[in-house]
Amino acid sequence: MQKIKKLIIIIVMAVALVVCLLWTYRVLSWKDTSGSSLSSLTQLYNTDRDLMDVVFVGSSHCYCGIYPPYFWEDAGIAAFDLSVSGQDRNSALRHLRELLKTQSPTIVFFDVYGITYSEQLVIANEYRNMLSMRLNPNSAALVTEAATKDKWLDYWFRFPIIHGRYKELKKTDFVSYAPNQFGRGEVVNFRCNEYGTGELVDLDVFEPATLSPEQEKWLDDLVKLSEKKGFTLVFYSAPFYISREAQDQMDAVAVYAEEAGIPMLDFNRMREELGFDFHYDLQDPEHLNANGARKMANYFEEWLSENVSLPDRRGDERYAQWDLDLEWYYHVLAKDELDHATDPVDYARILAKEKDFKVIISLEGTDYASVAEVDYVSVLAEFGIPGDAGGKWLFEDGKLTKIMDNRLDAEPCYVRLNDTETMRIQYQGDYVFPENIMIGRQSYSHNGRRLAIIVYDELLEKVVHCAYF
Amino acid sequence: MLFNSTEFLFFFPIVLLAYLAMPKKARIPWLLLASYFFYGCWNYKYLALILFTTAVTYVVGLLLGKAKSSRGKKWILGVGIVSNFLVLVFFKYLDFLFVNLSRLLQLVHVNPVANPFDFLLPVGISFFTFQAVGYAIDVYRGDIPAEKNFLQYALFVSFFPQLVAGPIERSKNLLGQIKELREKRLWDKDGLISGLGMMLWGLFMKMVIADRVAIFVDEVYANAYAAGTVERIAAAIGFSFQIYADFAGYSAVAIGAARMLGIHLMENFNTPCFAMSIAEFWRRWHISLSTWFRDYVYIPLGGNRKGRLRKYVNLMITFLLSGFWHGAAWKFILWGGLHGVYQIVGELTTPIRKKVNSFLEVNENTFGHKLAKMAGTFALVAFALIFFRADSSRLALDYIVGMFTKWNPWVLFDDSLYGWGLNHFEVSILALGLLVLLAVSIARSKKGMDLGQYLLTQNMLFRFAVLLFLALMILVFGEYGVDFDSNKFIYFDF
Repeated sequence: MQKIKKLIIIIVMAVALVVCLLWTYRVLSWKDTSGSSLSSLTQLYNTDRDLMDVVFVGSSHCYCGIYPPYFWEDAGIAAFDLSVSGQDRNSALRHLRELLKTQSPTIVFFDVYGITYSEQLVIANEYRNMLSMRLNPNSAALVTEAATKDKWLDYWFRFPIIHGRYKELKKTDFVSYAPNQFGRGEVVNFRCNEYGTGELVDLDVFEPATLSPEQEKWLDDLVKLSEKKGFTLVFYSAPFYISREAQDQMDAVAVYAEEAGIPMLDFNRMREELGFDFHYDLQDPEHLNANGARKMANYFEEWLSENVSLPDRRGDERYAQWDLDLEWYYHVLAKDELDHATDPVDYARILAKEKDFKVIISLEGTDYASVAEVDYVSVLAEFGIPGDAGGKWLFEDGKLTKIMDNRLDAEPCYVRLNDTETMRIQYQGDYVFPENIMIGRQSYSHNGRRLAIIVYDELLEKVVHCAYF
Repeated sequence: MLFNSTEFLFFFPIVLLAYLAMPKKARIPWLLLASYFFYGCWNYKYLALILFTTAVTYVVGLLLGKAKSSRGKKWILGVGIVSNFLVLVFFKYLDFLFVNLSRLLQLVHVNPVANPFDFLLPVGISFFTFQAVGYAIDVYRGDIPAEKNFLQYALFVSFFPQLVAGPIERSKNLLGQIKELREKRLWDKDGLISGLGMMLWGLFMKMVIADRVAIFVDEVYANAYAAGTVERIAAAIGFSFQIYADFAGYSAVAIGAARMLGIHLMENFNTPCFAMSIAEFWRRWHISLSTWFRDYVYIPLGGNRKGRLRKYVNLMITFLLSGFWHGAAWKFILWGGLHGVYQIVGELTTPIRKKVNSFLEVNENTFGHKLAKMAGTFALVAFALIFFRADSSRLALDYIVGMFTKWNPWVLFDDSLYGWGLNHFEVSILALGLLVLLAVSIARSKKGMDLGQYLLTQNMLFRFAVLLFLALMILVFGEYGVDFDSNKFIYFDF
């Protein structure tokens, strides 16, 4: 009996130890919580088995230039970007192997720009590529391929690298970061290239570089993998201000691809044909923006319709993540529109048509109609608020609710925003009372203006915009 | 191989598990092999030094055991000591001797001479040399018989937990235990738990406290020009905690690892921060070294048996040698000398202090009085350690001058102290670490047992909670890993 008792205690302690270690690892582990999807591995792990039909593999060129929501919205194609910042040759192959453990894509578009570098110049990218995969034989093998020997133990144990993250822990290290649950790998960006222009390579020159044995082996490995796993492999290279040397290497891949019978879509060589404008379609000299991604999607969709038969997955419940991802895209788009809306009426119009936004509209002071510079009446009319009304309002799912009147004796009102955040709305006087609208300890009050609009995004679980008129 | 390295995380469990499982007669060869591997990981070429020291002192021991005449014994011992110390001088002090010889030659306008040898200082050379020489002296004195079994003796010299930074073991204690390993029952639950507790506690002291304070201390010493009185005092105090947590931490890991292997090493630190005089401090600090110097230097010199003046001369010699043992630099000699002066002045002023206390009717048994004495002792130790930490004795003097001339109390209130490498959060972790250290020190002082032993008196849940707490603190808040490059124990260089 005594022995059994001791055994039970030992087992309980061992379990407690393992739980503590796992929980600590989970909190400290490298994860993408930046909102920039610098690694989409977490999104991959959050996807059920065998859902992806089309996979794009690549570095930032991939997640900046390929938007799966476009494919979803246009044709119901279940596409996914398997992309990590600075994805080098070894990492790309290992990441793809990781994806193939749970997914059976019909076609994989592989951005071969990764062939131009095998070593990481930025340590953060080394971490992203090494640490965003789960600890398993595949990720352990990547360590031996891509890291110097003296770092192997650090990468295998991970704690020597990740434990220092205690200095930067935030909420998303303890609870899951919402976009990682449904994101399909893209990083949506509407900014146009303002960094100046690079030199465009002369497309008439075709002088393929000589591929090194390592580069050839890498391409061979990819081809073998596609044969083994039964997916169609297509090489591509995203458009940007590519250097002559890099273009020569892409040309070399094109030669290799032709010999191997693999399609190669070199968008740099097609830039004129597809009408890429590197000011309008790039966000910086290296990466496409939403405009460029639109052109890429149009081309890929056409190519797919001509070469592969893919099912339209829209309406299939299993593909809810793709629906959410599209919705999320529209939220980001709406935020961008809000950022650029200079006219208050336009601003209100954008909000009025959006679902999933909790919009708090606070009016302080009186006699709005008399203010010449802002057409308050028209702004409020977009939400259905009478022009002579005051007080605090909540606009949600197209419905308007009055929260409270501006009375000094009115009780504060509390709006629960999510698991941890609550908004407190109260009236202590007009314009200059910072505690009138608070989320946590952060004031969103009027800043001396009559109208305050605070936009809370339920999908992203954060205030995405606020404006004061 | 460092105790706080990933390699050791593999090495020790493998050594331990194999050791516990293997036949009794394989234990000593196994530990010897592990010890040589442990040392060889740092630089396998220097294994030759350990083998040399081992072989010489082993033969010296055998010859001493057989020698009949006192004169012959003296000669044998002399040859043994000199040959070992020559190796030590060659690797550790030759550069120092050449530099100072050159300075002297320059004074008389003679061209300086350069050290023709440029060797790395072998890790832990002072420790294993002193341990081996101590054995030879013990055999000479007849305190122990000469060890005939070479493997046992070789393990005594190179036992990996204490090989590179002590404790400097006595032959009576360690050699005897090594002999017993052939028969001993090793699956000792208490030894394993208490050993694990000590190892975790040692790593906690080193990685959570010492290496965290080091960030601040290094920053101040590296940018002393920008540091005022407050920063300099804070860094001096900080370094006292750093070196204590670092070295006592190493000793605790060594003691814990040895305990898990069924060997009880001597205590090396006994809450030195609670010392109320410098003499008491040395009874609590680096005990294995201070007792080595006491037994093999101070007492043979005559100790306190030949009058007061001779006692003070003996004290100064012992402390100067102790300082020189710590490093081949004048700053270490000054540090040792300062401690000698502290002791002599302390003893000379004792009657005056007693009279003053009596005149002022100070009750010496009150906590306040004891606390003041502890604080005073700590201040003296911290002051002397400035020489220890500074890159040279000249820089140490500059540091001290700045400490008294760059008065800037406002930095205590304007948050600028957080600009020296440790932000608010890091300071909070450090404060937590120091509080834990204080609690363990008080328990150590009251109960007379180390943390490992204390855990054995507690129920299983408490033990587990303590071990888990220490492990998680080390894992998360320990200073280690890729961004950390100062992960060496300070005493490795001695």
